[in-house]
Amino acid sequence: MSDAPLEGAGTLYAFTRVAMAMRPGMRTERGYWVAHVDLDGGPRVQGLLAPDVAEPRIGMRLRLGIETVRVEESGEEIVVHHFAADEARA
Amino acid sequence: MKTENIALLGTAMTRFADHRDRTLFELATEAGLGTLTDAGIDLRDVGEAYVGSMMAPPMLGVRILKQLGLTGLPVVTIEAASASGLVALREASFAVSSGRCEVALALTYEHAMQRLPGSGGMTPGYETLMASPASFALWASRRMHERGTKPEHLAKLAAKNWNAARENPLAYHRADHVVTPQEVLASPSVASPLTQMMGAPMGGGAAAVLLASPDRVRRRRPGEPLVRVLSSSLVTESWDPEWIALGPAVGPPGMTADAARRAFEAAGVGPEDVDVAYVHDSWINEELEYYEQLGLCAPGEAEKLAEEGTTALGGRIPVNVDGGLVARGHPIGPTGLAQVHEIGLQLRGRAGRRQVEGATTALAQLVGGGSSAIVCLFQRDGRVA
Repeated sequence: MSDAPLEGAGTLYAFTRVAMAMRPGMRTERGYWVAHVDLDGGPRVQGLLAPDVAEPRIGMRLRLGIETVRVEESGEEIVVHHFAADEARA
Repeated sequence: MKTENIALLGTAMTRFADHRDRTLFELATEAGLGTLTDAGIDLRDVGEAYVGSMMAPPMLGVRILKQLGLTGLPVVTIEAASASGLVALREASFAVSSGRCEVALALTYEHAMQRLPGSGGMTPGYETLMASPASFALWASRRMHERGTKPEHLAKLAAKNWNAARENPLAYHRADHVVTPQEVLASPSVASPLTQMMGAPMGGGAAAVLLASPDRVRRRRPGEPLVRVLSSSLVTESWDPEWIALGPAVGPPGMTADAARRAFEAAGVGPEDVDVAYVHDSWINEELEYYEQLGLCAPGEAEKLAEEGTTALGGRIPVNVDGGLVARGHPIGPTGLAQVHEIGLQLRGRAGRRQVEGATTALAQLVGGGSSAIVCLFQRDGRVA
């Protein structure tokens, strides 16, 4: 096993809107989109869809990003990757 | 693998339910004593025991067996998540077919509502950051894109299983009215396109099966049809470029197909011989997928089976006529042996209002934690009186 660099853009493979909270205090408490995305250079990865993706459709172009989904009382940030709409190639 | 010369000597299960007011010990003891009573023996006649669950603390199986008697028998604990029950059956089968003992017990149990100190389960990590229903929903989403599956197909199958459970006194959900696909679709969304009524309740329960040689079973059950365990095939995940490695729940789609192919080959029967099947519908879109993977229909035809009611009681190939995981319930550990208990009833013609007429060959399939799949085949010798 070794680390491998990934392309930051890909195509939506499958998606679902989850109605249950991931963890308390996250934006995901009110429902959130989860997706499988085929990255241009492979492989298929899983992640949240960014809030700007209003109506996902399979085959749409997405770009990898990161977001803070929760800040702990200690100040520690919970950061996850997400996929945002790819403006350039949408 | 072929499981030669093994037959069901006894079976029992508790009701699958919330069971908040009952302990895991009570449930497991009820199922254990139930199967001993059904077989007309006591624990002194049992050579080996295979016990298990997904979350029970260490050594619980031995403590449970002590409730049934202190006979000194070997007790082996099995853990294979949702597949635990069928894996326990498989090991008990080999204990008898190898000649290690004449009678073997498989006993599995779980109580999600009362977790004992030391209980296990999935540890939160990156892959559990996402709720597990989402894994199944993603699978459904892709199928909708590729095969034109509609939420109505999923709702129709879920309603089928809810209505089947109305005839099963041991089922978790026993609706007091005919459940319609519209009602299933109108229940709260969990992860689109899946709604609450498309998913299995956990709760608690226990189930147990005793296995022995056909001769021994014939002596105990003269004049009754013999229910043989024909084969049992267990596989784990193999590399599949179409599947991502993350997610503890679903697993690569080919796993069940692999297990089924091997189980049919070992048993010398084919999918066309199956009269009744019990599959892992922890979320209802799985049932649709497994119709194809088990060979109950050609790839791409599962939606047609749903539309035409082919897998309902009275159809060509009834599936999950005890309610399936969705409505009979899925406490996890005991689910597989509940399937076997039901198959024992069906093949002996004792399933009452949910009887599949003339059922001779039956199939049970489960997926364990998205990382293993097991398919077992059963067949009746002799006629139902």
